[in-house]
Amino acid sequence: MTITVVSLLYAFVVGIIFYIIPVNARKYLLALASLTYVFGLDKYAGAIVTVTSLFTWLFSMMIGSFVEKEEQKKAKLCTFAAVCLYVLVLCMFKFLPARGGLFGKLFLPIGFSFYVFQAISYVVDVKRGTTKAEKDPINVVLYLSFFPKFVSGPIERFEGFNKQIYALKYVKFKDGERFKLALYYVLFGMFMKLVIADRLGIYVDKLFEDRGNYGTLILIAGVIAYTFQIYCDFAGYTFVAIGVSKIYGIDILQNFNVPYMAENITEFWRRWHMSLSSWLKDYVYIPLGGNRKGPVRKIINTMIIFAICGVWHGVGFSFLAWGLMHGLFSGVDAILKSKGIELVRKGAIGRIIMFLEVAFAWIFFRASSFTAAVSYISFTVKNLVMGETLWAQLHSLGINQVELILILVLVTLQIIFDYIAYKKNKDIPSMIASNSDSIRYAVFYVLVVTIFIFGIYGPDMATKPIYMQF
Amino acid sequence: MKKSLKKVRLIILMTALIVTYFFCERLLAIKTEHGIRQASDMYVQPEDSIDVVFLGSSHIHTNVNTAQLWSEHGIAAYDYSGADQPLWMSYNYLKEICKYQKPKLVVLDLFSVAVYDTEYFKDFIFLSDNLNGFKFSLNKIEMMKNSCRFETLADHFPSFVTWHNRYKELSEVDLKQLFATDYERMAFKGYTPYFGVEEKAEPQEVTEVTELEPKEAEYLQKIKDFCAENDMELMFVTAPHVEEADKAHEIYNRVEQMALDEGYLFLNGMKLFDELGIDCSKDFNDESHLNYWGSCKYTRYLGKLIKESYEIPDRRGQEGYESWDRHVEEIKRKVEQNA
Repeated sequence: MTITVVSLLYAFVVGIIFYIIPVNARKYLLALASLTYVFGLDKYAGAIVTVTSLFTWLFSMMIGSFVEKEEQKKAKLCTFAAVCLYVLVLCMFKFLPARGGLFGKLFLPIGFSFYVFQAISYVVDVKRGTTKAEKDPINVVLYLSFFPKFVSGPIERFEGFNKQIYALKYVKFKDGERFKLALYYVLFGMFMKLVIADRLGIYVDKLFEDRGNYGTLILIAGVIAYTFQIYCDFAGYTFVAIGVSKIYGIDILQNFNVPYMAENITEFWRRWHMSLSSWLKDYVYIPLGGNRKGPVRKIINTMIIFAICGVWHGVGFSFLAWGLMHGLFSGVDAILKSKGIELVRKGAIGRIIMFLEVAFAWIFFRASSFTAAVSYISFTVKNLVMGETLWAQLHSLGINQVELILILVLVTLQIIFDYIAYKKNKDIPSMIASNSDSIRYAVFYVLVVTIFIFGIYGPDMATKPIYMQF
Repeated sequence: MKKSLKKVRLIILMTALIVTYFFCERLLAIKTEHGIRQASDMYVQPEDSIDVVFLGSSHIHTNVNTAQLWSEHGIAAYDYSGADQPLWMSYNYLKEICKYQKPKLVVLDLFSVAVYDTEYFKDFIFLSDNLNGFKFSLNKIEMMKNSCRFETLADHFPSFVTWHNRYKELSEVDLKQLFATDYERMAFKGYTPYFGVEEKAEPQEVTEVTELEPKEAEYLQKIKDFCAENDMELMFVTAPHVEEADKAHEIYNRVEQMALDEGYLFLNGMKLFDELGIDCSKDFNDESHLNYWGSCKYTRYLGKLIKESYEIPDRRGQEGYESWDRHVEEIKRKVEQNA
């Protein structure tokens, strides 16, 4: 779901209807509301998700019937065909448009990368017997198109989500605790996205566009800024999605667990985009053998996973390079772990190294191409001495003293919030919601006023999520 | 006890949010004197005090010296205008001022009509200057429907989307306005003189006639009808300008015809450079606007014409009109600082 007033109002109105209509009609309402939302975003995306849902339901029914009849070969074949079809279509949407010509008219439908992975996980789970094929196609439609998580995930698993669809009729309106949580997830998510991520994005865009005109310090600051931008953007969006889902009594997967508090790159990937990394583990890494076929094969499998992760995010060698870099860092980390070298994998040193690895790799993720990423790095090295002073460079970025202080305060606050969440092993919205009325109301006031004044919205300030492009 | 404590906390929270909003609005709202202040300070004018209201583009608030109209003729006038304001917005401006005032004369500037076509207003860059000062009402909704594409509405409404992030560009003006009382604001009558000097050449006169575009013609008729229904005289003006003079002349010629046929007075400044005493080497701020000295010459002629043609009372010395005296002093101070 995009973070706009219209989307939030839409979610609110759907919420009102949700509690008025008969309980058995709730899943139909959510399915209809979700498809309407997607069609409203883009008719093409709406058509594709509808078709994908129906095909997924048909495949799952077929596979489910083969599994029931113990016709394993047929089930395997059918699953294989389904997965190949999904992967082919994904590749077609991702890679063909770049060739131009007739293919130039193709483009990746919004959210496709996310829900096609959900579709794959569902049919494979039916084949594996970890979930039963759902007879009602509406459940599958809702699973793939559920609007709070439609645009940028998380990548849900059918079994857990479907249980919640069945439980919709038991969701009570008089559940103050749930609504409190919903409110603070939405508010805190908006704070991360609109106040921090979108603000940093304005300057990061200029820096990456015009990198040759800025000095080393500013370019390094730009990388750090992007590191926080993408985290606050995606985690903020996820918090909003979690909050909105809670309105309907649905708990979607947590996707981030203070990833920059990780002490090494392996731990980072257990905290960053958790739904994607667990999907890759369950449906690619483990089938490839995981770590069961020796250390060399483990590293090869890790590299394959991260290469897939890279190209899933985008077309272009820079995304592959980003993925492979993470594969390399993870491989090295695995070797260090196996040799018992913990000094660089733990504590403050481990965190710093992890942060540097991740930040460096983000250059390739953010830059418009591999060449642009390399040029960014080369300017960072070359532009040690610039004609213009630091202040002049900041000024040309549009950053005055007030704005600089604000950015530093916000990033520091986010680090503090993440540290508290890490220590308490509980996310910030949950912590706020579980506090006393006085504290909650004070936090509510601060969040609302902060978003109101410092949020990036209004003319020339689109809040398009970074991950919406995937 | 617990429930009532909860209610009290909720009331405190709501109150704090409302107070914070209004504080932010006072501090952060854009306060340009090219429409926003003209619109917002209209609401603090003494009720039923304005006898002459000037509507239209920046040609009104830069060229019509309300302090001079007061000091020379005792005319209680207000420049209720906005940057490049189109006729369909002037119509709603007219309806708005008539909620609080009973002007005897409406003077409508035609610069925007003459120089811009309706295509220009599709992505109107000064829309916020013309919208933000207006209080929210059905009239404002109607104005937004007439002047804003639905897809871009969120860029302008609610108005806080345009000013919420001005924390990094706050100035003395913002702090002054934060603490300004209605009494102080009342002394603003819309006039915002320029003090630059650019030498210009007098444009050649053109005799061709061009019809108004349908939307402009429609709203011109609505303004005429509204004035007639509400017993207000209507007069048309255009101040001398150099920008797009050829194109403008063609429209002014059409309006002249219409004014003659229908019995309206039209002060066509484009044909009166000599009569107005405009010195093109000294009296222009830029190709569109007169400067302070040019505006005084234009206003002198305009004030005399209004006095001779309409029954506008001399309000000097009358109770309830002290704000015009303070306005004259404010303009004097402005001139001393800038001239």
